[in-house]
Amino acid sequence: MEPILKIKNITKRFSNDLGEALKDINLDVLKGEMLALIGESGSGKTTLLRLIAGLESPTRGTIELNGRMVVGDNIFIPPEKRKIGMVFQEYALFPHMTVEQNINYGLHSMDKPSARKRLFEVLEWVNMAELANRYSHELSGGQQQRAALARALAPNPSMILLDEPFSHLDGVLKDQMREELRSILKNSGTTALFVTHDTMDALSVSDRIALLQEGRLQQIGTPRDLYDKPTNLYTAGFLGKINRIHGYSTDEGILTDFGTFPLNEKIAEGKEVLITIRPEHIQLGSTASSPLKGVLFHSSYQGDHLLVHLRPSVSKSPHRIILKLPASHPVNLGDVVGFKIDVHFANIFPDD
Amino acid sequence: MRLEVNKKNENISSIKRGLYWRLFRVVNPWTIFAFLCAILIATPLITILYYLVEGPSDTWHHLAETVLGEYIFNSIFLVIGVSFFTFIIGVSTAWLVSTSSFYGRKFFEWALILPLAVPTYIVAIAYAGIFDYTGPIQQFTQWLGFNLGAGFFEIVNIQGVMVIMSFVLYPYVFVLARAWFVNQSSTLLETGRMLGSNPTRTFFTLALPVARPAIVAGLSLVIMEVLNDYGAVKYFGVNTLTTGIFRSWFSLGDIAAAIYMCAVLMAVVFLILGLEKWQRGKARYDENRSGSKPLQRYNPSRGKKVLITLWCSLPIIVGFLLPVLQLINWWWVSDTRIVDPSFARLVSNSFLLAATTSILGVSVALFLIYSIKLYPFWLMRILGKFSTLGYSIPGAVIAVGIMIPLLYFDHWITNYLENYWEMGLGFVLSGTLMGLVFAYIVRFLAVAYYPVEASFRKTSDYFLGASRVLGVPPAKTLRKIYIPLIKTGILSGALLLFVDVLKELPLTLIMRPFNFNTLATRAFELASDEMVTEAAAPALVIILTGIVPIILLSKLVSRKN
Repeated sequence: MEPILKIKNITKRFSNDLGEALKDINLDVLKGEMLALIGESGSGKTTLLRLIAGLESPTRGTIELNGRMVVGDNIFIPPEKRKIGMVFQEYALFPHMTVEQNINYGLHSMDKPSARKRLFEVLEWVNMAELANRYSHELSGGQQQRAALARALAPNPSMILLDEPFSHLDGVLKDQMREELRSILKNSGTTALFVTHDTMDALSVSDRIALLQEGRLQQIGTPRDLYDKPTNLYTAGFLGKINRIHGYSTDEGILTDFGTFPLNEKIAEGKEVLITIRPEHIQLGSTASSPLKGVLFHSSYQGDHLLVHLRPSVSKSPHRIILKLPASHPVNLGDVVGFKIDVHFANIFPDD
Repeated sequence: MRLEVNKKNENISSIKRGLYWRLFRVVNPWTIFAFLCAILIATPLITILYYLVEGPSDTWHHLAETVLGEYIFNSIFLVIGVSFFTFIIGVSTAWLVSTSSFYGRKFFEWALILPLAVPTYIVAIAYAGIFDYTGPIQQFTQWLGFNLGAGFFEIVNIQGVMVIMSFVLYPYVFVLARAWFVNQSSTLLETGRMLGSNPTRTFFTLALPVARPAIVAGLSLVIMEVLNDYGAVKYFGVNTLTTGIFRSWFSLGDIAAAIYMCAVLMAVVFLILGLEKWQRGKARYDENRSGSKPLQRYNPSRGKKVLITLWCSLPIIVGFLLPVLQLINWWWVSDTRIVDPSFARLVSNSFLLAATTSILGVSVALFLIYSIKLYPFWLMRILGKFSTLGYSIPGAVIAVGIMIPLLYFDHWITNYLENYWEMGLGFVLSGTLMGLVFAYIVRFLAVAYYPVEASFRKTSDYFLGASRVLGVPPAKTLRKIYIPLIKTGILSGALLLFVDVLKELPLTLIMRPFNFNTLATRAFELASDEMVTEAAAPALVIILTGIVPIILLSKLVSRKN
């Protein structure tokens, strides 16, 4: 599919003393997709969003939107002329205007009847028709977010940007809004780029994820790609808990204290490597049938599952193996148990 | 899905193009406006620096050898004395009002600010009358059967000015210290109490050290006012650096001497500003954002409550009530009790002048703050700080510093017109209302700037971006989003500026057009010409106008709580 947004070699430096907030970012956003930009705080994800919106200007690089250059050498299209929608972190609803007035604010270039029509259309999308005459302080958190979304969608932008859309919501409301947001954006066919620090937001809502670390793009791909086939150790660790196992690559495979793992084409022979394996890819078995054994020494209840820590008897390299068990599984701390590692889900990285 | 291999493409031409582009982003109508504001406001300082380099005149040498020592001594003596008294009055009342319950506490919260409505020179005039041989105090003692002689209550001297100034200017310390105590005291008080400390000990060991930056900020405002004052010291015959400027300018007619006198005064001002900045260190004046808990105030015994009430009444009685009563009395016995057309013209002159300045000043402040918000790079922030510097420069210095270039400009343009067009033209800028309004804005921009800036800071940082992303350019965003949101800040800035212009004396005396009077200059002239009863009416109008913002702003504060 044709990319709607093309980001090329974007670098942003806020001052000469500080390093680059963003370094050589290349990223395409395809028409109709939802792309999540994730990273720790300070990784530059909000800066990238603001660069796309035109609220900051880059030190170097170009941005093309809908085939039109909006940022480049000698080119800077101001934010008010870019036709991008944006939902801000604290929603930024204008407090002296009602929901309806907030939405109309962005419809100033339309004629009256079509603006009216558009207003009702977006109100319908976000299910806010009855609340159109309320002021923002009369709305709940979720309603404020829907109003902000309607306001951003109303002028029919080429794409919309969402800055931490779920960070101000809690628990049940957050789950509900994730679903709602996805269905509203998908139904309206809107291209969306959203920033989040919460991996669950990214995994559950987006079509693709781009992971930023200290201003550099680490990996971009589908949620499943990033979770199951991370290209580096940082990505593997960022998206969920991992067990790290040291190994040594030979022509037969990777030798570890936990057995031999199949070779990976990327790894040369005779190298120290690090294998990562997620807790859910380790199974408990009976002591007799399993080649690997360990002592259960810690368990924490997570509601829908148990996270169990186990001290392997064979190895000194990882002091513990973390694995996931059904919440109802009986656990006696101090017991010796057998376990099995699902080697197909292992990822192998060079150990530096 | 692709992750391109990053390449370094830093070639010289792209850096160069980047520079031009950046320059274009920095130079635009908004930033040019801010730069012009800062340049215009810097005029008086630039003038003084320029003439300092030119070298002093003989008159200056003469002044320096004879009277300068006395001027400096008197100025510094007043600064130290008034600081001491305002510290005692301001801090004690602020602490009592914010942490102790006593009779009429709520009333004192705002009534203690009332003396701020009365200009120092008017209070000085009133007290000269109160303690005069024919004044009420002497009449009372004579009625009692004592004859104390004319010089018994001699207050028309430097000590008298010092006490009078202290009772008028303590609200600066009171307001800032109280804001700090209210923000901080609930935590301090609770901590102090939990550790078993009594109120006095909590005050000296916790509250006073913590509030020091606010108190010093208040004191530096007091000091600026003391150095700015011309009316009170002149009326009481005390020679200070400010009266020295007037003497060099009007009596000796020596521009260079006036400039050097200004420079000495500015040296004192910068010394004090420097001290304030140095002691403040890293302390900041940010408002306490967490919602302040309702404060459990100390509940002293009944006897102590009476004492506290009396102590808090004293500054209001001395700094406001007695002088106002004296003025009302004079007004009652004066001939101009009934408003005549010339008085109406005086009032409308003053109000028009103040309103014009106020609208222009607030607009300048608003555009300046908004352009800094739009382009918040370091130079813009410095320009903003710089533009508010006028408030610490004494009015007489600003007047001299602006009059000289204006006179020079007028001279040049008159010559030009006569030589080339054979046209005769009077003053163009100097001695005109335009010049006066400009000087007022230079002096008082900070008064409008800070309320507007504070209300800007209360709006979300995201509004500007949100509006622009919705396709609305910055100027329309200001009109549609910000002005409706910050109108209270704009109104209070305009109101404060209005009142300050109405009260202003030294700058107006130097810069006003020939035969043009404001309420302030008229009141001062009449009092100086021994027609003190006639001075009461304009003085009372100034005071009444000055009370309006105090009441409105205190209402606003209490509504917020």
